[in-house]
Amino acid sequence: MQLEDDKNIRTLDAVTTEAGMVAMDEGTSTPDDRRWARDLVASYEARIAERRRNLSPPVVAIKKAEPIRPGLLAMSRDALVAVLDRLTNALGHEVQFGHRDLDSLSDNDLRHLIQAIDVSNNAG
Amino acid sequence: MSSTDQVDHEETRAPFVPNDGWLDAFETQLSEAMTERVRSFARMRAFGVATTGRKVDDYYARELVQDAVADTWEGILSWDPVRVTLEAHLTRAVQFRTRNDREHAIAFPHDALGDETPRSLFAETEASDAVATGRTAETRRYADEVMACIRDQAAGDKPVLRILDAYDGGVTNKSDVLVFTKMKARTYHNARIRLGRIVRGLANRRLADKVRA
Repeated sequence: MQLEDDKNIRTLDAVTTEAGMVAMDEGTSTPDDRRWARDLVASYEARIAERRRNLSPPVVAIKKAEPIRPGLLAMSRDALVAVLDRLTNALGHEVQFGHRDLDSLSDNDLRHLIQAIDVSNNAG
Repeated sequence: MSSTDQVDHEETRAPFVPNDGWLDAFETQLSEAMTERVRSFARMRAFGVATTGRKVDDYYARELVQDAVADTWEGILSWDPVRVTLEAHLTRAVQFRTRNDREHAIAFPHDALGDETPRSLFAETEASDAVATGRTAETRRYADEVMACIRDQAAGDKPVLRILDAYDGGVTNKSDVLVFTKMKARTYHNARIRLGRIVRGLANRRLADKVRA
């Protein structure tokens, strides 16, 4: 008799699994069930957003440009180009910058460029 | 390792940090419709737990889903979105947990409070041992009664009864059931739906208006 009863326990397990699958397909929810489902999903929206933020790389602070030195501010464009030529000739391969056409740079761009190259502060 | 294997609870366990792909899949698949479908499944499985004599209700079915989602989110339940959908993963988790709950209810029939302090666990074990023999027999009787009730309601519906015979013989996989019952796929499909409705009717009566356990 015990064997027969254990068989029923196993069969009931299979029956409730299949009934569950059928219930999934037939959809038998109440308005209260739907509200519960909505609340459950909504409760994860903030958590997902928070985890996404944690995955993003930390915000790198943008370094503010150093103020242009007064000596460079006083120079004309021709003088600035001359200084830049002198510096690049003096430093040779030690200096590289990505601007082939200096005409595309403003006067202040030139001043910042010179200031960045001339760490010894000789140019103004 | 299956997609729903449980990871050990260890205090030293590294926190679960899912990648973008995992988060995308979780966010896309955790829909209201999907959770509703899994709750429907959980409700039928809850009925199976109820047949052990444990008091369960619709809240229990919801908790099964909520716990499965939460444990997946925390990485306690491992989910690989490449291998299986979230719905299949949660359904499987609910299936295992209800099976465990049913076995626990049989092994610890005196577990009424659900608190797990050492003293209450000791008292529970003592009390459970005292009543286990009788309660296990009672659980078998519940299952016996429920199966008899299902068979009664399926009386005259030969395909449904043949499916039940297959389950009795330990055959549960669809293709195996088709071979065992010598049934066409369409006949099986329709009979399975009728069987599901019988069980749902019983579950509705059993789970309705229950005081929360």
